[in-house]
Amino acid sequence: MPRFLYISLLIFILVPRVPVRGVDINDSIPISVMLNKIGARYGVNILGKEEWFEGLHTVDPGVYQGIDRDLLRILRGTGLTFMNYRDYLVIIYIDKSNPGRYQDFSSGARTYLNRIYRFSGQVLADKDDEPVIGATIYIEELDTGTITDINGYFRLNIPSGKYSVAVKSVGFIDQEIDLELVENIDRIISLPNEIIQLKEVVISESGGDRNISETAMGLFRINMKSLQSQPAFMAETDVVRGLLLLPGVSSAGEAATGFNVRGGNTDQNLVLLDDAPVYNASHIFGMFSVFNQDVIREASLQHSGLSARYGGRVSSVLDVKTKNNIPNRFRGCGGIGLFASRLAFEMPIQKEKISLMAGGRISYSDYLLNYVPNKMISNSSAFFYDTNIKLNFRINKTNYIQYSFFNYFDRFKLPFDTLYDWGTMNHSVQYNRLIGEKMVINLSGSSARYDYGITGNGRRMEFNWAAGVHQEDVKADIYYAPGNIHTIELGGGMTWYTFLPGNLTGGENSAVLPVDLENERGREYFAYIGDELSIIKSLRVSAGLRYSNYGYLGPQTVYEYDPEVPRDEETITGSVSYARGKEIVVYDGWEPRLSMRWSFGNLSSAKASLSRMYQYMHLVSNSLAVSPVDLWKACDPYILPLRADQVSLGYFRNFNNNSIETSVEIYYKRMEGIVDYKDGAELFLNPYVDAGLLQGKGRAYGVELLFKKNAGRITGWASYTFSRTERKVSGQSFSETINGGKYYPSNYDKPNDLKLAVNYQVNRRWSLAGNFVYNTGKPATYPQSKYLVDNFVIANYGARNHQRIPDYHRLDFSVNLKGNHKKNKFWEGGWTFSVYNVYGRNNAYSIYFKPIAGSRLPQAYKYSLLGSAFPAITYNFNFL
Amino acid sequence: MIKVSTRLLILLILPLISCEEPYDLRIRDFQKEYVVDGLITDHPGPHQITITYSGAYSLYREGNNQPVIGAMVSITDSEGVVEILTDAGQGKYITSAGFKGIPGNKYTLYVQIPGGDELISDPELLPVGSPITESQFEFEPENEFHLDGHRVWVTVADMPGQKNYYRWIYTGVFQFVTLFDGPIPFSTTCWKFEYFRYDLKLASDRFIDGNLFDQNIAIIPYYSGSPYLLTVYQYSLSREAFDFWNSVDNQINNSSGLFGVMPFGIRGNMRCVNDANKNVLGYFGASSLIKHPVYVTRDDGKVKNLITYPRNVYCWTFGNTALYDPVNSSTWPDGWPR
Repeated sequence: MPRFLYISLLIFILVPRVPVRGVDINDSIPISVMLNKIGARYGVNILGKEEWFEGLHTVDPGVYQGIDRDLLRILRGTGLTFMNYRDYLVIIYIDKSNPGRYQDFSSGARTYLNRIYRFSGQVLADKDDEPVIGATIYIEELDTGTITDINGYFRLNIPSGKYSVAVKSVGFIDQEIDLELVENIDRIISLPNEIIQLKEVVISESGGDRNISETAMGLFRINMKSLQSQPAFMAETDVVRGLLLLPGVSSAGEAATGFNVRGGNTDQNLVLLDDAPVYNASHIFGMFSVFNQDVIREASLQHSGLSARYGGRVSSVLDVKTKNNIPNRFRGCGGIGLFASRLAFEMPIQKEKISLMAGGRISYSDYLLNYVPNKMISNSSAFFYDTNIKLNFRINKTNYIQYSFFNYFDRFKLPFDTLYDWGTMNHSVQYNRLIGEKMVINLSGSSARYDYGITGNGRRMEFNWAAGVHQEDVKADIYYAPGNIHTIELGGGMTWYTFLPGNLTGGENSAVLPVDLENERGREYFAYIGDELSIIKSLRVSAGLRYSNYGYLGPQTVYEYDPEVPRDEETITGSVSYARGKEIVVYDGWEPRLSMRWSFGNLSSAKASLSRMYQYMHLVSNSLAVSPVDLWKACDPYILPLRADQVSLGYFRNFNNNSIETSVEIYYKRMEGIVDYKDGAELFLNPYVDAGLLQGKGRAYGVELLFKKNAGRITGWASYTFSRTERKVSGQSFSETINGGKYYPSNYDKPNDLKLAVNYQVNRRWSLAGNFVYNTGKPATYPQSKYLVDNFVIANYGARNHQRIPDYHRLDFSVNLKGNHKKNKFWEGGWTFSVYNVYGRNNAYSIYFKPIAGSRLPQAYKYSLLGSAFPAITYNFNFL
Repeated sequence: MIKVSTRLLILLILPLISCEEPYDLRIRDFQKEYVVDGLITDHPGPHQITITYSGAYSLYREGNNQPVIGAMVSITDSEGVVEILTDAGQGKYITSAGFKGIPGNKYTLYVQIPGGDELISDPELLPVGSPITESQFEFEPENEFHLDGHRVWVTVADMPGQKNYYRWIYTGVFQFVTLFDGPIPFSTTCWKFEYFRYDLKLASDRFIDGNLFDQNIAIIPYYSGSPYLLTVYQYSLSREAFDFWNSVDNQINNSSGLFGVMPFGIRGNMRCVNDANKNVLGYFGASSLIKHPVYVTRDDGKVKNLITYPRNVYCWTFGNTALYDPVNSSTWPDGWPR
């Protein structure tokens, strides 16, 4: 069978051998010649089978009326029709909508034409039974096909007959299977993995020209397998630390909890694990994230042009999904590292119906720290573990249930008498139902608990402080695709929040009196609708609207303050107690979302997006870096919601058969209602904490350049970002104003930011990788002068964030050795050796000022964390 | 294999020790601002108010800040009694010896500076102090944070039903014998005074109102077997004074590291009447003072790090006037058992 049609992307299309009845037109040109002219005229490839056009002629009108009308005219009466694929490809095929003609053109094989059967199934990777998303199922004889959904499922309704089915997907060896369809058939198709994957890219915006053709901007899909070959701190592959190599993403410093996206605070990122929110995704104060590489299927981060489906946080969505396949046999994987080890397995419980996946990770750094001959370290202790459990129920082809459990715990004990602990316990259930081939309904519910505390063991001062945030969600989403150029999504849901600002208990002999602050409660409901379609071929628009409504609920005591003076404990004039369930205050808002893509041929496009988002909670921190025990505060009558508006523009251009991607994005974002605090405000166990908080504005803007190479032995990217992020707090009085009410740089304003990530595949087993990052030092507040009070030298700090600490740069390097790629091995192991901060740069974390110990000599100090090279080694393995 | 890897791991984790090193801020220009440093107590005077200008921040130099001289300084209490302070030179202004604060009253400091600027404090409450009921000490062997020493605690009976804020300082004295060589060798008994001014001890009764609580005051290094007399000075603070000192404490002890508090300009209770744009630094405080001696016998014989005092050391008889420097004295100290 001649393969003369070739689509350079994901799909090969094979056209059936069908004779075409000729129509003689004498004084004209062959259709094939005319099609060539039209293709050249409109800059598209027109694909069809030459023999269909043998002897067919048409008249060249000399004028063109647009490709669709021209093709309709040319193909009229030939029994052929066409479809547009993307914007640069037209595929000509036999018109089956006319049975009469179809009969004429059909081959002798088709004898049961009037019976339609269902051919359905699931495509799985042979190696690990992971569902293969977006695999092409193509019925050659019928010139029809489909693409597998997010769970690897596909469904086709086709006439009975004998067919050859081609199944293809990037990274897999093509499979061709014979199908004799005389009844409904459901089949699992295993695709063998390609043995060598040279085209590894750590964080890819998927393959091909997707970056050009989709409307989404600022969307990064993270491939866990390839992230593992990039250098990682302590050789522990980490989703969140991987994010920090992306343009627009930064952090407040080394090992800081959370990340900042385009000028947003860390609490402005919605971090989801299987649809349940993770309030703090950090182990050991941000050294590692809580996501175990062995259980993660995929992760994506989006920070502009977000779908209306997402809301609740204003800067970005990090959507992490665990594995959801139903394997046909038991298998496991894991790794042994210096700080922690992990183990995960998957197994079928009922064949093709029910499966269990479980993974865990535990640190033994506590044990290690005790060996360190430094007293400060050996007397500290750090410990963490995390657990993931996933149950997949595939009820039938169209109904699917997933249950996901996630739990982690962290403990850090300081050498003195203070112990910090924090942990999360999440449950989520999702039910997916396919209705027909074009609609998916998704119902989900989740419960997320983040609890944290501090324990003190001072003499007669024993105490335990416990706080937390709990959230329950239910929601329904409907996804409907009436055509391949048109999708509609709509949904709604409800969220209940409980914020536990903390209670304090003392021990038996402790002088500490119990304190129990009232929990804060809130509820939020939302509804959204979104529509994405191509208006004309080069213009694709995605528009959405979300409505969110938040209520602050009783029981609660709300203090009233003298409105004439700044709010303070001393200016309380009274209080009002609200009953359970009473809506004390309600905030709501419309959140429009719009993104557009205009393509210029198949190699470049321009995109624009606009969005408004609301957030009804704040993380309040007065420290240099956000800590796991900072206060989560619900919006209340005094603390208003956060609103962010963002506009982004981008130009995307690919070169060299999409193996090189480049882009420029500019953005401007403004934020209202950013929470700050009065200098010296008490945030801990303070029933009047809202009196210590200030709200202001923020703005962020920047330009992000990205160059990425996807193919060849050397892959990787370089990104440069110039951005500013600023805050403005202008209150009624001096104490409610920061820096005179002018804009000042936020704590993580780093104007110049350069990131390089390179991977070199030496051969099948060995690869080398390196990262380099450089950024401007973050803002700092320095003393202007000094003075003495009672012989204490006091530094007189000037305007907030008006100086900068020294610039930051760092080089990381790793070597990966993979297993020998023999098929069907019981055990496959690989080594990763990495060095973090290769040249041992003593990067400043902060600059601060204090008198030299035991004297009153003023001194500025540079504080560095991870100020030397960190070599590490990890052994990763798969078995069965 | 396990042994080798353990050693490797230790080597790898060693660098986790975060490091701090001196750094030159290179701050050149600064604005001179008035600094008021004063405290009155309910003990008899003279009490001292010091008025200076803020000084340039400079690395490796302590420096004394330039005094404001020739000012007119007065303190008015909430009953209308005015105390005019005497200019003692070098920016120091002192009350009469008979002046003492009354707990429960509020005091306002007023300063008129030659050139016209007028500084005034917010009325500062002199809070009633809570009594120290007892004190204890116990030997603590050397650990990773201090050498062999005796830890001293005071037990405070917090007054219930009101907000109480505390600050403690302490002084110490111990006895040693020095030998003089020469034609006629002789020995003399000396006392060594120690002051610990850089140790800021603060507390609030926010979570312990009305309870007895133990306050850790000091670790007395154990390098002499002779007794040690520690005098604890407990100052009651107003809420504003506590906020001020708490900010200072944050700056000195909690501004470093990962979760250090973001530094900020500390506001006191002084302001410039005639020009609101002029920032006035420092604090005018009023405290009830309780002195509590703790006689640490140190007779358990566990002393390890014994220091032998050199011969021919004179006991300088500066008495208590050089309050802020360690001195040796031949004067029998107050509170030392005879």
